[in-house]
Amino acid sequence: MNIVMKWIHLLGSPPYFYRFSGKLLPWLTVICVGLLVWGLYGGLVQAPADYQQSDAFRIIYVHVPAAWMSLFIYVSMAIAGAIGIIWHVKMAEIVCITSAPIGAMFTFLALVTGSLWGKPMWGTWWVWDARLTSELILLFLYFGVIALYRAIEDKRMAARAVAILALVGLVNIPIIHYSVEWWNTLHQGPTVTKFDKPSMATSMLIPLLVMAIAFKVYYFIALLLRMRTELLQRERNSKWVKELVGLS
Amino acid sequence: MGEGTGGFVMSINEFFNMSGYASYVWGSFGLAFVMLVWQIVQPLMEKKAIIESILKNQLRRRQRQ
Repeated sequence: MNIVMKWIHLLGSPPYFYRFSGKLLPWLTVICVGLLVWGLYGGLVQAPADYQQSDAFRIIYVHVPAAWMSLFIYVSMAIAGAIGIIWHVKMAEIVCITSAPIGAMFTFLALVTGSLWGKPMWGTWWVWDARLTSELILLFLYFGVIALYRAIEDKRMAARAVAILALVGLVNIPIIHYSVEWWNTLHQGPTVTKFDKPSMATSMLIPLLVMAIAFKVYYFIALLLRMRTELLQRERNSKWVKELVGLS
Repeated sequence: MGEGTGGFVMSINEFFNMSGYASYVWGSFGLAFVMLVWQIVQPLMEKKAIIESILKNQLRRRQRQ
């Protein structure tokens, strides 16, 4: 336990974090690409066409993992923000800030792929039903976080304000998840994330879960890359950055 | 070129056609691909720009001395 705590403490040191994440990234990339190839082959080639939606259902393999990530990243961002406020952990502040653009990207992707799926299946690109509307609000929350951070000059203050905004916005997360049960939506109810058995054939379900894990690993890679860039920028006058770029 | 090749080409065409939903299916996956790559490239380009600006600043300081 002591060793684990020491290591976590060590990760809070920017030069150590930079070096460690640099060693981790190639491995994560190999894992992510492998999972993506497996998931895409399973979803686009191996899985049979749906008996109602034919091949259009295959959009599920990008739409659903992207939508899951949009929620997962928001919660991670809010938790990191809370840790940053309560314990003044600088690294947690950075996780909070750098998660926002990645989460916004996944939210946008979920909305657009949902639209591309809705047109042939529902006959419309967009409806103002509870699921679609609450997911759109999530996108605006991400934009709000990014804009607020940019607007405040003092970055420590900005990180605090952003964390509070992220925490307030957390109320939207259960609304998105339960929207399909609480309201009468055109969007279908949950297929996988429910207490009952998933109502999906195994050959269709496995590629979906593989894609979901691949997207999680991807988030980790994108997050580490953004954190490293942010650290370089913040610590550009420090000794370790100067050594890193080959000065002194 | 045997009969097998024709069947293979047929099934490749079928795969890309996605039973007529090609634009929706490939549009979704294409957009995802572009956005996922962009999210990786962007911080790497930013990192390069930061390192270049650090080096430039250093050079300017040395010239002044």
